[in-house]
Amino acid sequence: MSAARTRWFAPLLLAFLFAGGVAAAAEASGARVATVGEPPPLFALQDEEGQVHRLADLLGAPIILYFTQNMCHYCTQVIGFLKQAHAAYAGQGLTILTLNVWADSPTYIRRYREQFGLPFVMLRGKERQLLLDYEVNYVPIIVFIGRDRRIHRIFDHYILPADFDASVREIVEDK
Amino acid sequence: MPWDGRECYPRRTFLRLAGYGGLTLLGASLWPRRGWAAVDPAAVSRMEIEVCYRTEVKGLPRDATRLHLWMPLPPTSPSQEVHDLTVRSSLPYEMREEALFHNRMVHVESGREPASFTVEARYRVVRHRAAAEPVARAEASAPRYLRLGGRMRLTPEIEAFARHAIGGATDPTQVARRVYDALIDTLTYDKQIAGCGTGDTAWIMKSRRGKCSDYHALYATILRGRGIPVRWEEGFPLPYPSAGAVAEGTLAGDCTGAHCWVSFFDPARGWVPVDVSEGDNHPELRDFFFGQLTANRFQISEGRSITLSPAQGGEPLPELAFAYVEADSIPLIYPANYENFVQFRVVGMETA
Repeated sequence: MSAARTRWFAPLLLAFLFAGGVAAAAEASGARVATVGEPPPLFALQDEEGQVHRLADLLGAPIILYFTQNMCHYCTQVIGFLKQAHAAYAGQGLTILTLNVWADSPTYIRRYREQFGLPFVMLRGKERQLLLDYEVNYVPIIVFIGRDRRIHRIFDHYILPADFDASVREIVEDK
Repeated sequence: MPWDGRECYPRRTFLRLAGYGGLTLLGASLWPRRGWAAVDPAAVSRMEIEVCYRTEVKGLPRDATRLHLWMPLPPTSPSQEVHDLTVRSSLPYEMREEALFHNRMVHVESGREPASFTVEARYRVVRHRAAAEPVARAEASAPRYLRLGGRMRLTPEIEAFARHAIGGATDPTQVARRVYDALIDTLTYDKQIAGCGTGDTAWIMKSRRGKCSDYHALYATILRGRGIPVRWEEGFPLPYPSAGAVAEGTLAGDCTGAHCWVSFFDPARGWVPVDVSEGDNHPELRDFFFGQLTANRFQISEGRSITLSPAQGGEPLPELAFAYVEADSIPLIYPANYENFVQFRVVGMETA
């Protein structure tokens, strides 16, 4: 798990200067940031149809959160890993939420999903609180959440296929 | 000039070069052909580089109606001269300059047809070993050199780090050197990072690692926070002449292939160049990279949080190194919709 992050403490973060934002507000999740072993920060974000997806409603199932944006070359390789995981484990309850941290419109999301034929949801992730909660500096960031409603692993910006597979199995098979 | 469809370097040449076996150094895929004898990089006073910068748009979203492409062009400065610029495009283009940093660029606007096209700029850069560059105080004190934009934030943790590093120093060069040393001693250059960063100083200070944009975002934030103007310079890294006897190659055309450095302003010296991350990566050049830059690079733009000309529909760009393409104000997806190729060939080098 060489690339996994361990979160030690909540940073003192001031305002992000990202202008604009999506229509759906992220749900306040308290002062802490995403931390291995802890429940994930909550959010409620829209997909391209305007449907709001609440992380709180999904907890209890194994979940992968995948943060990306349009100019990340390496991110597009991880999409292949996600598709394989979806094909193998969707039947066992695996839920994949992809979050485009630049996206602020339905068209933005729809074009990305169409380009890669994503069989799972992409959310409008240009949301200040979301970026603070998950400490998004580099993308991709991949967060694995288990059935125990806690974060098992966080990988930022690089993941080996073996680490990805092991992380998926861990959250799917851990009853 | 109408584009004749030829590639920068014919593909058969690349196949032949690839047959020599590829290397990877600083994100560059390199095909050794003409070797250099081992040279002290600090002794290189001048490099002459042929560049072919090519962007291929290869597919648009099905509902795209209006497309804009911006390709940055390198500036002329005391550290570099740009010669023999030619632009080739299968679509009409215009030369533009944005208002804040005066970055030059090629701009192409198109409807949804053709769905694929190529824009190519060729030029020859003469790059000099950079040193302090006289400049008027009024010019260096412009707000763009002092403001904390984008994710450059002075958090309490960064303030505490800066206070400890700077101590009682007040002279700009002394302050800048102390911060330079403190960052090199604190941060780790993370070669594992394959993605695209924003230069979020809070993240950098907490994680204590990063790449060039992280080092320099934190460096610029601390100095600007002390009222010292800092100029951000974006460009491309070339191989060190003593590192692998490599004279040509192709740089990764995504966000990972570029390099950046900064200059701080000292009224007694002018713009003083600094490369903190290279100072960390090359301990033998630590003193050199505070006040000088090796010639194995070239600059493509200045500044961060860049609004293009004409203005893009999306957010200001964190840095401007690579061509950027939008359809209906939404960024195209790299590399699915377009790709950049920055090919270089070092054709001359002098030592002094």
